[in-house]
Amino acid sequence: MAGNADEESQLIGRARGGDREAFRLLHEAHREAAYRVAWRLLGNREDALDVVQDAFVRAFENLSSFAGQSSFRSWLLRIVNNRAIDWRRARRLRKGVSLSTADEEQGPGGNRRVPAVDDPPDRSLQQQELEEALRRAMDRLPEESRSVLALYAGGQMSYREIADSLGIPIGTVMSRLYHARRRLREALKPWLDTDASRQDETMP
Amino acid sequence: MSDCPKFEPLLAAQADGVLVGSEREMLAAHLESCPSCRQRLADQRAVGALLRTQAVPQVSDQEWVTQWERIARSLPALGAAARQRPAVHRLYWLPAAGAAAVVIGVVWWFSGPPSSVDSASAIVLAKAGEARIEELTVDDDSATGMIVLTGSDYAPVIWIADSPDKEVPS
Repeated sequence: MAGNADEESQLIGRARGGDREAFRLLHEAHREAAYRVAWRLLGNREDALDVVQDAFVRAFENLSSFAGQSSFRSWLLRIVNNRAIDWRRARRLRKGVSLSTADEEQGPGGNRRVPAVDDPPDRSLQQQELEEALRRAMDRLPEESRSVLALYAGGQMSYREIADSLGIPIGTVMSRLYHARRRLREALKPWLDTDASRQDETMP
Repeated sequence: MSDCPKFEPLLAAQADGVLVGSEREMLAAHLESCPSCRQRLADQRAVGALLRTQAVPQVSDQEWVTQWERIARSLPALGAAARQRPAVHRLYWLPAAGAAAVVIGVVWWFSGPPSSVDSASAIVLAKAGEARIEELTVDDDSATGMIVLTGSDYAPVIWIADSPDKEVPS
């Protein structure tokens, strides 16, 4: 499998020649990371799978434009990110309301839980509420912050890889990550106890 | 503190354990005297930990297979696109094909057209490098032919020539 750069480079070369098996192996190697990023961006399993499928088709269609200056994964996840952004915009248009408005419609408590079909039955209600609150907080993030956070947490990319993938300075990656987490922290206050006075936050 | 904002991006990197060098030392010194940034660092770590432990809905192997099959259904067209050569490649062979056409014309001029001119009668195949002329057809007052690339399983036509009215020597 595409376990190293040489092997992956060979796979990409074969795929460019129309080798279907090479395409399949590239899909197999990167589908999980693509899915995690898409799910972080969309908060919905089925939408994420649709975006991943669309992103792979687009990636394969445009494989000739992949110059190899970044890793294939970075290039693919950028496509996933772009497709997910388009998907969110289309979803907003379809609904005719903003996602934040849709959130507010969930009730005065703001935390009313609508169980997802893929919820494991053994998760505690508190855990489900926390994850639902996290999903909604992610939805409210500015687009650029959400992308950086999804690529970091979902794609498990390094700061450098994210910077290369999005074409932004590494300092901007750090700044967007900081502000994204700060906003999430504000939204998740009821669930997170982060009192630094009771923790050791000095640096070793 | 007034200089806290400049340390904020570093707090994200420190929370992820990737801050090194002088920036790390600067932040350490700042944290010693800034309880607010110590709190911010704790927040960054807590949210980072939450994201790492957040359950991502699973996708079964069968679902991935189904997805691949859907993607693969789009691939025949991709395969054809991948086999096509860029336009510049075709142009590269035009001089060779043109030369082949000239050679055929000159030979023809001196030897005359094929004797059986009462129908689509003569097929001449002339090779020049990796280009060749195919289906050169002559009748009383015109000639047509195609120049195609060789050495390829799809043999693209790069030029269709049609010689009207009396261009063919009699």
